[in-house]
Amino acid sequence: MGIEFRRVTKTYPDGTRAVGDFSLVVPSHSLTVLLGSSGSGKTTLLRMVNRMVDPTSGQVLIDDADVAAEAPVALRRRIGYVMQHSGLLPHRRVIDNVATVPRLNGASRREARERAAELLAVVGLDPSLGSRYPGQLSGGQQQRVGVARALAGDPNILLMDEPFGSVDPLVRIELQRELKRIHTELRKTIIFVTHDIDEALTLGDQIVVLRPGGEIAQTGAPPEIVENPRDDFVAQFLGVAGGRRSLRATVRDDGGLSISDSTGRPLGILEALPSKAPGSLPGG
Amino acid sequence: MNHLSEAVRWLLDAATWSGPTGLGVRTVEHLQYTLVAVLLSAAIALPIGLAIGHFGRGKNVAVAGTGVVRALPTLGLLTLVALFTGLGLTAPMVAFITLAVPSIIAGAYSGVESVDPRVVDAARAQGMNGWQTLLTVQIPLGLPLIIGGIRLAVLQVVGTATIAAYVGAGGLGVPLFLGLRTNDYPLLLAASLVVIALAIVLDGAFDLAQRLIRRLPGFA
Amino acid sequence: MKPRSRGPLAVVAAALLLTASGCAGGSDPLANSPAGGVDEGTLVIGSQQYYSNTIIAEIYAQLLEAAGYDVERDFEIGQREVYASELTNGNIDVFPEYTGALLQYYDPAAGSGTPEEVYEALTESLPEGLTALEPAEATDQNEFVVTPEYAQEHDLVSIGDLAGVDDVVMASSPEFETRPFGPEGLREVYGVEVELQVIDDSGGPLTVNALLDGEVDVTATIYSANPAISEHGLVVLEDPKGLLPSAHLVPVVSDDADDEARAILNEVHSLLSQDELLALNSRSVNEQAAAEVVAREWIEKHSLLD
Repeated sequence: MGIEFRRVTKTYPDGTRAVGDFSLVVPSHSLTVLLGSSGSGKTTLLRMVNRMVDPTSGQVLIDDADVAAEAPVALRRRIGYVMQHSGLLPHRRVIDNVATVPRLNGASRREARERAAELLAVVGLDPSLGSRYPGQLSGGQQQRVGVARALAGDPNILLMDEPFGSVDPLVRIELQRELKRIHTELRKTIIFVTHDIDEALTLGDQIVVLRPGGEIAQTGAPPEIVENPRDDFVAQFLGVAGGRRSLRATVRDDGGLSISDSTGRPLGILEALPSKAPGSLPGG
Repeated sequence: MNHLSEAVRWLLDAATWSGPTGLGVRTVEHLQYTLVAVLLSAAIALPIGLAIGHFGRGKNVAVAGTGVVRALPTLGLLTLVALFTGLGLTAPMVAFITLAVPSIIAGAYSGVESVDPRVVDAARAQGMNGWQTLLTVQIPLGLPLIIGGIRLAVLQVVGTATIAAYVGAGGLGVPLFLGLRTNDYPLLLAASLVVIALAIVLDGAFDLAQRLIRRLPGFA
Repeated sequence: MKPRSRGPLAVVAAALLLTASGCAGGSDPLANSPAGGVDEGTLVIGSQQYYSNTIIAEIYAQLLEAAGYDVERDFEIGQREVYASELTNGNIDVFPEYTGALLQYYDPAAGSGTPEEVYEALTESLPEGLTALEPAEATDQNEFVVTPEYAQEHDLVSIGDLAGVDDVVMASSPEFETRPFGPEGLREVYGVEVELQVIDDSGGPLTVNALLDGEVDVTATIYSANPAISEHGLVVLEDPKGLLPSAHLVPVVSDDADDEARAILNEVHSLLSQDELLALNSRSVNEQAAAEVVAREWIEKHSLLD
């Protein structure tokens, strides 16, 4: 399920221009990260895919079909959506929250709940949590439920808006790992919005670095972005130039190299250099 | 304290409450008027208030409109309408409904607005249409305030329903006005006490309902 | 939500407490006393909460002022139970009253009778310090009133003719059932049974509408000076057995009113025929004219200041 943004703009009635002339192809089955700080229009762009926001001009296409031609409600039922604060219905049990879309699509309550229970397992939750209410779950558990809910209708597309932003770091790493696993297993097309560089680098097949106003600074796979930042903006954003990603090595007595960043913060140990590497590193 | 103790003594006498024109009948009539008036008002006002909350439009018009309506003196309105509708319950009902509708509208849109917008957003993003969002999310989660509006309306009507006696209908206004016109202060006080008691009981019932709802999962 | 919903309750409770607290000692909590410290020589003129009564009081006031008296107006006081104590203790000096009604107040056991008998009984029953002056021809008294159609249909001339009619519905005030000329009196004196329908607008538009629409058959709330009678050609049922108290307009004064003042008041009443009174009321009701204007023009019309 490939997604395409074709010269999309968004200007609000009060005159603010959230997105200007944005074009992007999101390949089927890929996990594309929209990376930028607030004001970069990343959430706006995400919400155009399921028509929570409609573009002022330009088109958004799913498998070459303009989403504007489809009724929003039907469209949303076949697209999974996860937001930062789970947005679970607090007065419904977890199992019924997850079962929302199947029920909307006409499944019986029993069928929908069965499917929901499966999905709780998929996101790594004990199915017995299904009978609880969202308020009784931890933040991390709620986010997992949010992901399960988004998957329940078996959508081909998953939209995720900073879904792990409000959980603590250890849980976040765990959830990122889970998401990668789910992506590998289920092969959905995912658009993931974040301002966290590490998260982007962990998750993305394709990273789109955004400037304010929805302008693309660079698009590429993680290694490419890190190794070849196109300009100062990208380099600064990623902390490549003189930042956290500018690394130094010192030789260890036991062999191998000790790696630290430009501030001297130790990051890890490199046991062996690749056999093809030159004796000295570029630039040094 | 002569009058007050006299009034209380009269209220405690079982004979006061019995009979076709006894206080029991008047109280039942009074409650019936209140109930019917509030039900009719809710039928009119709830859709309006819920729509305002759901679509996020029309609040200014509603506030201005209900402001004007609230300023109308209820007895004056009753008399005016009775000139057209004659005797009977139509004129009082119109007056009570005019009194109750503003509060119910305000409670309804406040209730809908009080729901966490992120929850509403998520519901719409999952693919719920407007009705489903309203019925499964906005009304259930907004219920405490929606009920609050109805509660206020009930109190206003129960206190004002005495004016039904003006056009010869029943209710607690009958003993109240009789006591007033004949300067029978114990009677006046007694009728007032019953009205107040009704108000307290009804208020308490609604308070309990709101508290119970707030204890359900999903409320802060 | 909680503070808001306590509002109506608090107001009702406060009103209740105020009423209750005034009852210590048995004094009348609704008594309205005019401002204290009234000068010697100032005449305090009162009126009921009734537009017609206030017009008469205003006529008194303008004439007495023109004659050089210091006058204080204390109008629209309320019902008789309210202002009577003020009359009795001399806080009010001049009041336009109605013979039968006032008699009933001071002597509830008094039977009715001819207007002369009623007047005599009144002068006897008035407390020390109060005097009833010359009564006018004009009355403003309880009547039983029907539409001309209804009168024709059932051949009604006097109240007693209702005895032969079934299902008579009578518009009344809330307190009518407690009055001696109410349902009990009707039954005893004329053998007439009525079903009461309370309409609390004192013979106002709601009552007139109900009568004309046939929702009630007869009303006890349209008084003899109500302009609606002539406006709609309504029929006043005769009262040969004197059930209804006659109520001729009469000035009631305290000892502070001297002979000259009394003469002025008596002159007013000598000119008040029923038609004159009806005309005064009609101007107020139909033209919405203020009491002050109606009074002044009536005085001019009768050249009372020349």
